[in-house]
Amino acid sequence: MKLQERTENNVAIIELEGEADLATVPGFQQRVRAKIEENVPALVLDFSSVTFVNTPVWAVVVEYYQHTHKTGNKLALAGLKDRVEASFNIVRLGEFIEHFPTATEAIKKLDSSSET
Amino acid sequence: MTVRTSASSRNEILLDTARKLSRSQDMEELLDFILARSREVMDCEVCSILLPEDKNGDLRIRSTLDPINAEPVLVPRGKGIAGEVYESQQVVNIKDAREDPRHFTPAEDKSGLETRAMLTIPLLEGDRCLGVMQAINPNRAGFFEKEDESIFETFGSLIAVTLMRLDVQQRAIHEAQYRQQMASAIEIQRSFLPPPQTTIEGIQVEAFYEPASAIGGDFYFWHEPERGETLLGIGDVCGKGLPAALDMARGTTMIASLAHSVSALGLGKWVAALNSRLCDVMSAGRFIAANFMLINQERRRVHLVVAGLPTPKVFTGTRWLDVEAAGNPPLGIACGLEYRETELPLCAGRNWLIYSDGLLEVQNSAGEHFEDKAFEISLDKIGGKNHGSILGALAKDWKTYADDSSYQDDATILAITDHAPAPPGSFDFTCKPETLKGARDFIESWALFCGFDDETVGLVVLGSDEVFNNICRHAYCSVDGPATCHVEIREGALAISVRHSGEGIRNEDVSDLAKDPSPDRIGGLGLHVVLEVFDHTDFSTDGKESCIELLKTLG
Repeated sequence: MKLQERTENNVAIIELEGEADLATVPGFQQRVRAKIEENVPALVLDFSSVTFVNTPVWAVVVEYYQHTHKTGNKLALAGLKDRVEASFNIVRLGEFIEHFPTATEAIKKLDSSSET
Repeated sequence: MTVRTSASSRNEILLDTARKLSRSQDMEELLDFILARSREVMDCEVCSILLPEDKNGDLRIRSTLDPINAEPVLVPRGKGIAGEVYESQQVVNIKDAREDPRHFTPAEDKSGLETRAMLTIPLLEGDRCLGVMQAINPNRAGFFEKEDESIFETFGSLIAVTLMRLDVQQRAIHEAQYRQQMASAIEIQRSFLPPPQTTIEGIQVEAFYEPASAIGGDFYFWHEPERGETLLGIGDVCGKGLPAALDMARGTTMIASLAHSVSALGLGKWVAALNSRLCDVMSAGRFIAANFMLINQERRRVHLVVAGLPTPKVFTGTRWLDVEAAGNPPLGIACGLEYRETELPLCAGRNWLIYSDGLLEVQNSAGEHFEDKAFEISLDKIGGKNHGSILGALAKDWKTYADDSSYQDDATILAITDHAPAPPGSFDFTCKPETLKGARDFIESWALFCGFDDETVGLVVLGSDEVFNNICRHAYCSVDGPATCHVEIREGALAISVRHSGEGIRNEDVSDLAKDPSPDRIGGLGLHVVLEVFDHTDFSTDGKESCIELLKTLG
């Protein structure tokens, strides 16, 4: 899995590409924990180019969510579709983690909520 | 004063007539010749011949009097002297018809002939009366004499033989023409049927076609509307003979012309459109019962519309079962009907049978239908043989049964076999994060083979991956260890079994280990996913080897 980072309007974005599985989760976990260390106010995880996600990957997302719950920082997921959306739905993370069809929409939402 | 025709002259006329009679092939020409020569022989004012109409035995008059020939003039059956002679087969010679109460003049007779003396003879061929002849108003005397009766009867016997010859000839000509027409009709009808065997993208289709009469109402078809799709089916037009053949031609032509649109419309809507078109062209009271099957080889799905024919059968690997499909009315009865389709995975069976009701309805001498026991016995015996022998064996059993039958309808069978190779049955791997992609690909190949939709394929892969993850992380505690994954289709389900020699768990452990998703907890989701994805799970271990069985129902 490839990981790319960028920042847009005070929102940090991690773009994932490929299959997010047990072999690639350590790298992803490392990047996410770095964001915890950096205490970024808003983070978007963009899954638009991901074709597979399993529960160890969702566990990393939950770990970051728990961090935001304590700090008041923001987290949103973007680009969940097809099989990845089915994986997301079966672990029911949508019940408490915000998610948007595109990264642009997620960034816009997080940026506006940071301003308020 | 008229001069009586001499005996020698009469004989010459008879001989000349006999020569002409043996050569003539045209009935009307012959009758006119007979009448003209009869009048010469009998030396009378008028001669008539009365021959029975086919339908009700009325006698139709042909005469030397042209006005009578201009319009059909009929003597009702048994009416008048002609009707009496036709039935009694006895000669009647009367001197003055005007005084005979039996005499009858048809209303259509506008000739104005005043009948006085009349000699009426039957035209006999053995015991059969072919018609009667009448000589009316002799020229040389007031009535016909005994000698006249004799010569007229001789003349009549000659004519009877000729009429018989002509009748036999005409029947032979008609039969030959009918056979020629039937042969052409059969050839035309067969030209609407595809060849009895084809293979389209790994789907083999074979047909058995046995019309009860030379021109049957059954038909079968197959088309490839798009690459990777096969549309096939059987139709059974109500009735027999040429009307059924015409409807069969309509049906097959319309199916062929609309086949290209089935992929876009979907089978149910496509059959509804076909039905509306057929309603426009078929006569009231006529209809087509049909079963349609659309196979998508790429998605490995089968779509069925059952419209008035018996439900198809599928061989699951161990037995033949009726396909549970929604029933629909036959086509051509009412416009605007909706047709419900049934969707199944192609791997529900390697072999499928679609057939017309003529297969089931055939009866043996004991009055038992083929469907009562013989069909099931035959299928049990045949089982899941290779494709060619399934159709061959079933057709042979049916023909043996039908040989003893008093009634037989058209019988058509389509045998469909999926020849697409199944993925390898097992996958051995060393359980570590880097190898799990290969294990997932192995599972995905089976999920696709089963014809699951994309979301279900993804979930089956995810659920299996969660098992592999747990073996890596918990059973082997992140130390490399061997695992084997075996997959098969068993009893209508995708069956996955994963074996490993790490620390295993039992069913009773699962409820403690599986965690519902929660924002307060990280981890424990893997077993939750496994239990959500699969319809049945079984965790077992004997301390040395552990096994996880996962079942996903084909749907």
